[in-house]
This record gives sequence, C-alpha cells and structure tokens, in this order.
Amino acid sequence: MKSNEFKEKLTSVTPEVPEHFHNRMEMTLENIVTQEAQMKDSTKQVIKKAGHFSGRTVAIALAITLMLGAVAFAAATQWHLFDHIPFLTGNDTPKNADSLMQSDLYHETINNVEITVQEAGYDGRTLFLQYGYRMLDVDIAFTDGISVEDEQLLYNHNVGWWIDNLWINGKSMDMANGSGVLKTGSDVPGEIIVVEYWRLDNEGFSLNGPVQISLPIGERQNLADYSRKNHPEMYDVDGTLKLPDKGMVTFTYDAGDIRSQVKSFKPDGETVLPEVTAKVREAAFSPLMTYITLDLKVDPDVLAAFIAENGPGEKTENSEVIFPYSAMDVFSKWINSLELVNGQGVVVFPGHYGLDGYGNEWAEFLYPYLESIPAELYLAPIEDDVADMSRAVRVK
Amino acid sequence: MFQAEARRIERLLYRIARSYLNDDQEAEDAVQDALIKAWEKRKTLRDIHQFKPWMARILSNRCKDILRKRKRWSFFPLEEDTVQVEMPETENAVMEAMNMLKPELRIVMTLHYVDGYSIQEMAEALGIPAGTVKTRMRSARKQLSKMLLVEWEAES
Repeated sequence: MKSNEFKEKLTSVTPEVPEHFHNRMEMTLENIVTQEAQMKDSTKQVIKKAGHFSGRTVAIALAITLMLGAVAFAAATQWHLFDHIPFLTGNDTPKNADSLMQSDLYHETINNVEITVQEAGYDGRTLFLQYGYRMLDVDIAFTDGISVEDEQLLYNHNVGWWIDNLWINGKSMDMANGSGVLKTGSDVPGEIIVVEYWRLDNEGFSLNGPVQISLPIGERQNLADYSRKNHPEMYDVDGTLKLPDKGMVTFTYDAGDIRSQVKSFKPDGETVLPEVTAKVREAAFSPLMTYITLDLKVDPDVLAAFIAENGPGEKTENSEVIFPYSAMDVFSKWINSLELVNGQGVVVFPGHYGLDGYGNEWAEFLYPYLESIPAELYLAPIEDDVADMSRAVRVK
Repeated sequence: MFQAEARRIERLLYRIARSYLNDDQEAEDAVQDALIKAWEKRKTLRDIHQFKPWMARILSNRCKDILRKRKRWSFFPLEEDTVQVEMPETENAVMEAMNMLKPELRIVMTLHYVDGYSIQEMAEALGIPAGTVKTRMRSARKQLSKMLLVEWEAES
C-alpha cells in the first residue's frame, strides 16, 4: 500500500465531527458561560450517559409447561426490564417485582413514532424505566441491536431524549453517579427499547406515594430555546430548569411507601489491613437489590512506601508517567478480590461481579435481592475458592 | 472569547478525544469535562494564543483519566459497545491497524493524514515539541508498515 492510498483509506474511515458531538459542545459552552454560579455543582453531571450499552438483544423467554397431559404456555417473566440488567438484579426476575413494578404508563404517537412508557419501578434507591420508540414507517426489526444508523433514523423523526435531565413532580434532576442507559431493538419492526436506571439516592431524591415523572423523550426541542441566558424565567431560583411545556412525556408512578421496605445497616467496627482500613458506611437491602458502600482509608506512609517500591505511576514506553499512583492502587488487588459471603465464608451470589466502582476513599458493591438476609455477612477476598475471613469486612 | 476559541478547535477536540477513547459518547463526556475544567482554570491562561495547546493538554489528561477508570471499572463486556460497520476489507484493515496504535500515535496520524496538519502545526496544537511529534509519527509509521505493508513516501 502506498502512503497516498493509506491517506485515502484513513480519511474514509475517520468519522467527521458528529452532529450530536457538536450539539453537546454547544450546550456545554452555553452552560459554562451563562451558568457559572451553578457550574461546579451541576453542569458536570448534566450528562446523559446514553448509548454505552447499546447492542444488547432483547431476550424474551417463553416457558412451556406440560401439566397432566395438557399443554400450557406461560410468560417466564412479566417484567422485561430485568432481562436487560442481570448485572444489577441477577439472572432471574426479582421476587418482589410484581409489587413494585407498574406497566403501560404512557402512550402517544408523535411524528409517526409511537412512544410508550412500558415499565417503571422504584426500590427506594433506584428508579428503573423501560420505554420504547416505534417508528411506524420503518418495517425492519432491529433484532441484532441498535446501530448508529438506527439511532439516526429515530433522530430523523425529530423524536427522542433531547435534554439531559428528567423531572420528578416538576423538579429537575441530573443523572446521578451510578446510573446508566441501555438501548436495544426488538422483534417489532422499527422499535427501539430503552432501559434506564437512575440512582435517585445519589442525587438526594426519594419517591413516596404517587409521583409525576417527566421524561424529555417527545418531540425534540431547540436547546437554544432553553438557555438560561436567553430565558432566565425558565429557571428556578436554584438554577435548575423548570419543567418544559413541550417535548415531554409525563406519567404517574405510585411509589407507595417503598422506602420503609429498605433495610439499612451501619455496622460498627472496621477492618484494619496493612494496605487499607475499611468500614461499611451502609449496607442497604431493598426489595430489588443489595447496596453496600465502603469507606476506605490508606495511610499516607503506606502510599509513600508503595510509590517508593513501584515508582510514581504507570508509565508509557517513553517512561512518561501516564497514571500517577494513588491510594486506590494500594488496595486495588484486595478490593477486586472481594465477594459477598455469609458467616461461614460461603459466597452468597456465586459468579456475580459485585464491585460497581471505587475511588481512593470509597467503594460500592451491588448485588441482587437477598430474600433471606443471613445473620452475618462479609465482603471477603476469595483465593482458590476459599474466603479469607481474616481480611474480610463485616457488612452485617 | 472562551467560547469562540473553543468553537474554533472543535474538530481538534473531537479528534483527540476520539483517538484516546474510540467511543463517541465517551468523547463527548471527556470534552464536556475538559471544557468545564478549562473554564474554571481560564484565569491561569495568560496568552489566548496558547488556548489551543492548553485546551488540548487538559483534554488529553481528562481522556487519560477516563482510560484509567475504564481499566479499573470492569462493569460490562466492552464488546457490547461496539457497533459493527460493514466496510471494504482494506478500509477495515486500516481502521483495525489504527486502533492497534497507542492514542498518542493515533492522534498525530489522524491530524496529519486526515486533517493535513504539518509537524509544526501538530506541535503547536498539542503543546508538545516538534521532535516528539516526529518521534510519534515515525513510531506510528513503523507499526503501520508491519500491519499494512505501507510504503511511506518522503514527506514533511
């Protein structure tokens, strides 16, 4: 291959600046100049982390049951939302799903796109949503997941999530840490299914009783019409955008008194290891999931010794330090080896990767629902299939 | 002024973030974070003519930070993020070979061959010595030669 040919080929495979990138940058520039006062607290989180997990095919399982010579058909699960998030709620539909989930919450056709809010649920911490866009003039089913071109099709209908927040009872909320979005297709022609999980607790929100949830998934609106600079009247005194009167899908979800069903433990005591001191900040058992947060502390002398032994950080081939070492490097191996075990050291959720994330001073573990909470629970390092309880952290 | 300068280098910012992260969504996140950080630190920029390399450095650091977290936060199989695009074999090979390069090398190759930056322009844009740009170009060409059998003609 000649270099000219390489140049030609490289140019053809290198994407141009996407329109979405341009729009996002414009919105950021607008925000940082006009909302400086709110910047540090809010704009960093005015991010819709959509699209990260597209490509997942819907798995709708049908169970065929033979009973006394008769053939009966039954749906394996009524709640398809959980089919998409086994990494959070496990492979089976949570046992309490029926009491928390609500379905068929909204239906409207806009610009030839049928928008349906199919399922919603709240476990006292996380808001789970599944909604669909069905393009009525598209006769192809996206059975292999959603491609960029498929998303562009929806964009061409001028419908879809058009601003970063959602609103609860008319109050704006940014997407919190630990939240996520998945998009997939289905065997219905033109249908894109979106599953979202919003960690309301990380933004200080909780739901109680009937609440109005408003999603910006209707007709796309011009973001310039919602800039604070041009339309300060659209913003609350705390700088958050009031509920827009266009482009929104609003439905009612009855959260009941679900918060009272979350069992929360804050065990005393800490585990002191040579590399880190760990303590459970909170272990919360909701009707859908298990949330465990650790506080971690590394002695500065230990970090200094680590750096003295291993160097200042990970280096490139040119010996340039690309990732300076910090506290999290000191306990990285240990934190990654932890699994939830009972008092006898038996793993509670075999094969479930619970570590959801960690930093220099914290770590969060997420596991499926625990129907029967053991008297004792620990996060223990597992080596050769054996829990090392001497290096475990007591959860309960 | 800040907005105008940032808009002027939108394409460069996209190239840098895309080269590091190979994901449009993460590239958007990185650029947003970098713009916010740059805005907060704008008073430390004494010469507006240095905006481009200053911003490029902030963005590069942000991208490295994201890569670091990506490495350590093993949430889900990454292959689910990948959108398979059908393309002719040679184009596919070029893309795959580029993806094998380190981000720093990918950036200079893209800026030079796609956007027509000279060595000096890349050095100024990225805020690194021209010698470093040349080294990266040489290294990238060497690796690509092995993978694609490219015969590089004398240039720049």
